[in-house]
Amino acid sequence: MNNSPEGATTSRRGFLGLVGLSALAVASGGLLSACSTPAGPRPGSGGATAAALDKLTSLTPAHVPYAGVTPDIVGQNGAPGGFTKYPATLVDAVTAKPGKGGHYKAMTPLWGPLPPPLGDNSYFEAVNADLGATIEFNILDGMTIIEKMNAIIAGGDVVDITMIPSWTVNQIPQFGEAVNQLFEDLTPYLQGEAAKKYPLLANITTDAWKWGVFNGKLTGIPGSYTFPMGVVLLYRKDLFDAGGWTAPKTADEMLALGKEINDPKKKRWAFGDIKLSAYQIFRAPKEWILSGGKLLHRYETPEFEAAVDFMRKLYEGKLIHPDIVSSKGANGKELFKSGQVLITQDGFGGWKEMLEQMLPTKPDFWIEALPHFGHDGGAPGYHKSEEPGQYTFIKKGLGKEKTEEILSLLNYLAAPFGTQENMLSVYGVEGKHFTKNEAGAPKKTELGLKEAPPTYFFLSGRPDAITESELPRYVETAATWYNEAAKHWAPNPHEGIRIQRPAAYAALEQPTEDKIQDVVRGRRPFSELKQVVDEWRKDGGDESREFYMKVLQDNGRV
Amino acid sequence: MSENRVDSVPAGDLTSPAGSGTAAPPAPLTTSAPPGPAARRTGGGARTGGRDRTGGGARPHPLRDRLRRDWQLLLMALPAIGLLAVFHYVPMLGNVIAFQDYSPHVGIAESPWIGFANFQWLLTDQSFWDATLNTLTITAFQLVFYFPIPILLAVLLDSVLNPRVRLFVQSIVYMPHFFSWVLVVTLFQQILGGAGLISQLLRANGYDGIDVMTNPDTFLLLVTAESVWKDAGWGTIIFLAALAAINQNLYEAAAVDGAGRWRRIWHITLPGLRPVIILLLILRLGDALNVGFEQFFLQRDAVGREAAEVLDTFIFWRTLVTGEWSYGAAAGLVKGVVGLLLILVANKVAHRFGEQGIYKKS
Amino acid sequence: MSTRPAWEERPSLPGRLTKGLTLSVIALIVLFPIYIVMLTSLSPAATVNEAGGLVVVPDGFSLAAYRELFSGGVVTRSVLVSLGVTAVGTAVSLVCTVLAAYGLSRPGSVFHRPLLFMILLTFLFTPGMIPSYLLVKSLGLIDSYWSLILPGAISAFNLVVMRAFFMNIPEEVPDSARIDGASEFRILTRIVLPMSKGVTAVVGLFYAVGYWNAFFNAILYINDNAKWPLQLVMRQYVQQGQALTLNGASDTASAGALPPNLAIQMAIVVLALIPVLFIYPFVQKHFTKGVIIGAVKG
Repeated sequence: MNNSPEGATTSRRGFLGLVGLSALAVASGGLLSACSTPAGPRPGSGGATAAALDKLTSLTPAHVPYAGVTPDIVGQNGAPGGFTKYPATLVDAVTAKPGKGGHYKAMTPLWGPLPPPLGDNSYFEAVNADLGATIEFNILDGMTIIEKMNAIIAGGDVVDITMIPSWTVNQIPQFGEAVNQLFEDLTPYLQGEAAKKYPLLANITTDAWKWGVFNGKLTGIPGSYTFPMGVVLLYRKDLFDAGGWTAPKTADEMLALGKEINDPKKKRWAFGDIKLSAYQIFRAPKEWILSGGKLLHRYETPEFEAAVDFMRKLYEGKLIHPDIVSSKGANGKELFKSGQVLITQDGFGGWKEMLEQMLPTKPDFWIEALPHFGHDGGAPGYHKSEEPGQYTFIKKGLGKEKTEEILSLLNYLAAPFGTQENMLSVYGVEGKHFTKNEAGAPKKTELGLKEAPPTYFFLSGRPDAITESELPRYVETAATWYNEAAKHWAPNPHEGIRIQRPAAYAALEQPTEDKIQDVVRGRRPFSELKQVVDEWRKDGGDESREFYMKVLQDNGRV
Repeated sequence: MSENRVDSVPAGDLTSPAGSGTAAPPAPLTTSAPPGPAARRTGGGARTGGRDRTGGGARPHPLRDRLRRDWQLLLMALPAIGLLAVFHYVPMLGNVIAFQDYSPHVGIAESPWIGFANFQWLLTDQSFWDATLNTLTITAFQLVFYFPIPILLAVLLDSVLNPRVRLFVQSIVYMPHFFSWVLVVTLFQQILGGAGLISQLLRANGYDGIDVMTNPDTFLLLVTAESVWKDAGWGTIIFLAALAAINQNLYEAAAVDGAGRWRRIWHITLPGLRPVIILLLILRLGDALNVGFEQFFLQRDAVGREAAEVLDTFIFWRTLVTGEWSYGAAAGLVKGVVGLLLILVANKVAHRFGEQGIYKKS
Repeated sequence: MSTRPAWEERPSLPGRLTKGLTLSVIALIVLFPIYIVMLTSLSPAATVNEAGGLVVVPDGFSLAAYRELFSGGVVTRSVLVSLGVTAVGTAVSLVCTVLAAYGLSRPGSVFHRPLLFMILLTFLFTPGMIPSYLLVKSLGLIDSYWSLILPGAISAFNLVVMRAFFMNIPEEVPDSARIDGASEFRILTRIVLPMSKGVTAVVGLFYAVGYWNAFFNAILYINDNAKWPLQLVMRQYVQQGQALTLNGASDTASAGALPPNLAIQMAIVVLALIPVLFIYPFVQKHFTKGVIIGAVKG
C-alpha cells in the first residue's frame, strides 16, 4: 500500500538480482586461483572519493539573510546568537499558504517517544492545516537508522520526503551515486537566484548549502548546522563554587585539580570520558595537518602524544569514574547530574538539556562549559564539525508541480526562531500544546510533549540560535562562550571537501584506537605509542596519506 | 595452506539449497565410515528388530515404496520446509556477495565478482585470528563452567517438593533472561564495579575499592558470571521439560530396590536427560563462534581488545562500521562452515559413544 | 503441601537445610538486582538524579514513569499489535514445528536426513539483512503483519529439540498404532503430542517469547507507525535526548517535564517481565510428572 508504481519496478529488479545467480559460475572459476596470498587492492577500496564543495557554490542558492528576527547576543565567526529575552511578537514569515492540498509521506528518525499518528494527533492536524497540505510521517527508530537506510536504498523505495542524518550518509557506501538515482536534483529549483522563490531556504548560509551537493548536483537541503562544536567540556559550577575550586587554565592545573577534587570515598570522581576534549586542549589536529608541505596524521603529531600522555595520567590516578571505565553503556549524564562526576564531556545540546532536567527538582544545580584553555595556557584547537547535522531529500520523479509544492512546505518549515511558523511547527498551538511563562517562553503541555516531538523540525534547516530565554543566565553564558570558541578552530587542510574515506583507512581506525586505548589505560607502556603509530603507517596509514595528499594537490591547496 | 583453502569449497555450495539440501546425504557424514549409506541404513533397520514391518521389509527399499510408506510424514514436514526455503534459503543466496565487491545501492546483479579475495583478506588478517582465538577460548571455558549449571539447577529445582516454592523459584530464576545486556552489565557494575556497592562498602571501612570489571585477567570469569546470571535460569526450562518426560516408574522401582537419592539421580535422572544434554551440547558447538555481541561490545574498552575482542565485535567494526558488506558476508560464511564442521564432528563422536546426537546414525 | 510420592524417603534434615540455603542464595542473587530495577522504576525524578544510576535505597515513591508510558494511545495500541502477532505467530510456528519435528522423527523414513540437514544449515548460515528486506518487499509484505511472523517462523533449534523429545518415545508406541491402521496425523495428535506436553509447552514458550520481544523485523519491514509492536514503541522511550547529542540541535524542547529517562527505562523492563511471569505457570503446569509412558502402555 505504500509502494508506488516506481517502487514496484525497482523491487522486481532487486529481486531478479537476488535470484539471478547465473554469475555464480564466475565465482567458482576463481576457486583454483584462490590459493595465493592476496594480490591487488582490497575489495571496497575503490570507493574513496573527494569532492571540493567550495568549488560548487555556483550550484547553491544565493544567500539572502532573513531580517525578520535578530538575537540580542549576536553570533560571531559562525557561532549561534543568543536570545536572552523572548521576542514579544512573533513575525509572520510566510504569508501565502505554501501547500496546494497535496498529501506527502515523510520519513524521519526520532530519538524519543512515538507521537500518535496522523488522524489521532491534533498537533499534526494544526500544522498541516497551516501548511495547506498533509505531511504524513513515517517515523524511524533513531538508533537503527543506518540499517534501515541501507535497506531502503538497496530496495530503492524512498517516500516523498526523506531526512537522513549526515553521519548516516557517511556510513552508506557510494551514497553519492545512490542519491542521484533516488532523489530529485534540486539544482534547477534552487540554484542562484531561483531560490528567491523560497526566501527562508535562501536564508540558509552557503557554507551549509554546499554540503547538499552530492555527485555534482544540489540534492540535499541542509538541516541544523549552526553548532559546529562537536563536544563541550562541562563542569559542575555549583559544586565548584561550594568547594572553592577554580576552573583550570592549563593541563597541569587540570590534573592537579582532578587529584584535589577526586574523592572515591564520597563517591565523587573528577572526570567522565573527556578523551576528545583532551585532544583539543592539546591542539592535536582533527585528522590531518599540513606541516612544512608534508601531510601529518594526528597520530604522528607531538600534540597527540602529549594528549595521550595526559589521558594516561588521568587513568593512572583513577580520576575517571569507574563506571565510565568499565562499560560503554555507562550513562555519563546521569553520573554528572548526580555529582558523582564533576567534569564531563557532552554535546552542546547536553548543557541545556541537563539544566532543564535538573532545575525543577534542584534549583541550585548549575553547570557551565569550562572556560577556554589550551594545555600550555594558550588557546585550544577546537575540532569544527563542518557538515550540517542532516539532509532532507525529495523523491525523484514526482514532477515539477509536486516538487515545487514540497519545496514551499520545506521553505515554511525553515522559518527561524521568532516566527509564528517556527512556533507552530515546533511547539504546536498555544494553550493546547504549550503555554507561555511570564518571560514569554513556551513550555510544552502534557499533550504537547506527547503529540509534538521533533518531526517537522527535522524536515528543514534554519539558522539556529540559543533560544532558552527562560534561562537568561544560560543563554548569556553559552552565547558568550560560543563566540569565544569560534575563534579557536584547529586548522584543517581538507576543510570544505567531502571525502569518502578509503576503506583501508577506515578499517585501520578501530585497531589503532584500540592500541591507543591500551596505552591510555596503562595496559601497554607509554613508550609503545611510537610503535603503535609505526604499525599504523605500515598497515595503510602511509597509503592513506598519499590519497589525502592527492586530494589537496588536486584542489591546488599545496 | 592450500589444503585449508580447499576446505572452504563446501562453503560456497552450502549457500545453495540444491547443493546439499535435497540431494544425497551430505558427504561429510559418510566419508569416514566404510559401509555406504544404504548398507548402514538397512543395518540400522535390522538392529531395531521388527520395527520395519509396516515398511514392507524389503531390504533395499526402492524409492517409490518408501515414498508410498512415508508420504504423510513428508507432507507434515512440508510447511516448515517451505517457510525455511522461502524466507531463509532465498535470502541466504544473498550471501554470494561474499564473492563480490558489493554495494547495496548497486545490487547483487551489477556488483563485480572478485572470487575468493574477501576470504583471502579475512584469513590473512591477524585481527580475525585473534578474535577467533578469543571466541573459542570463551566458548570452551563456558562449556565447562556455564553449560552444566542449568542442568544442575534444573535437577535441584525439580527436587523441590513443595509445588508453591518450586513455582516461585522457577519463576524468578529465568527473569534475568529478559534483561538487556546493557542492563546486566550496569547491574554488575552497580554491585561489583569500582563505584559499586561492594567497593563503596570497602572504602567506608578504610579499604580500597575492587576492580573486577576492568581486569583483563579475570574477564573470562566476569563474562561467564554475567552469562550465568542472565541465562542459566532460562536454560533450565528445557531440562525441566526433559525431567518431566522421564518415566516415574523407574524411580519407584529403583527406590523399592533400595537405591538412594543420589544413586537414583546418577542412574535414572542423568541418563534420562542425556539425549537432550548431548543434543544441546552439539548445537552449542555449532554455535561455538557466536558468543554474543553486545556483552563484549560494551566491555571491550574496559579490558582491551586482547581480552574482549570476539568475532562478532570484529565483524561489527570491520564491516558494518566501514560499510564492507562483502567482507562481513565472507566472515559469516566462515563462521557457518566452522560451525557445521564442529557439529558434524561432534555428532560423529556422539554416535561413537552410542548416542543419538542430532540425528540417528540409522 | 508436598508432592512427595509414597515411595520416596523422607528428606534428611541436613539435606533439607542445604537445599533450602542453596535455593535462598540463588533467589537472593536473582531478586536483589530485580529489586533495584523495580525500585528505580518507582522512584521520583529527584531520587533517580541523586543516585546517578539505579536506585538502591528507596526515597519517595512515584508512578510517573508508568503514567508516562501509558499516557496516549500509542503504547496501548502497540500492546494489541504485539499480542496479535505473538498469538498468531506462536500458533503458526508451533503447528509447523510440531508437524515437521514429527514428520522427520521416524527412523529410516525417506528423505528425513537431507531435510534435517537442510534445517540444520539454517541454524548455521543466516541470511543478510538486505536480501531479506528485498525478499519481503518483493512478496509485497512491507507494512504487513505477516512480515513480523513468516521470516522467523521456524527455529531450527526448536525443531531439532522437539524432534529429539519425540524420538525418545519408544518406537513401539507409534508402530503399534500404525499396525492398527492409524494415519500419521492421528498418531501425532492422539499419541505423540499427549505424551509430549512438556516440550510442546516449552517450545511454544520459546516462540511466544521470541515474537513478544522481537523488534528488528519491525524496524525493517514496518513503515506505518500505527503498526509498530510494543517493543519498538518502548525502545523509543529509551532514546530520549540522544538526538541532542548527535546534532546539537538546540530547539527540540523535548526535555523538562519528562520523568527521568532511567526510571522509564526500568519501567519498560518491568513491564516486559509481566506477561512472561503470567504465562510461565501455564507452561510449568505441563511439567507434571506422571507415569506418562506407563499409562500409555497400560
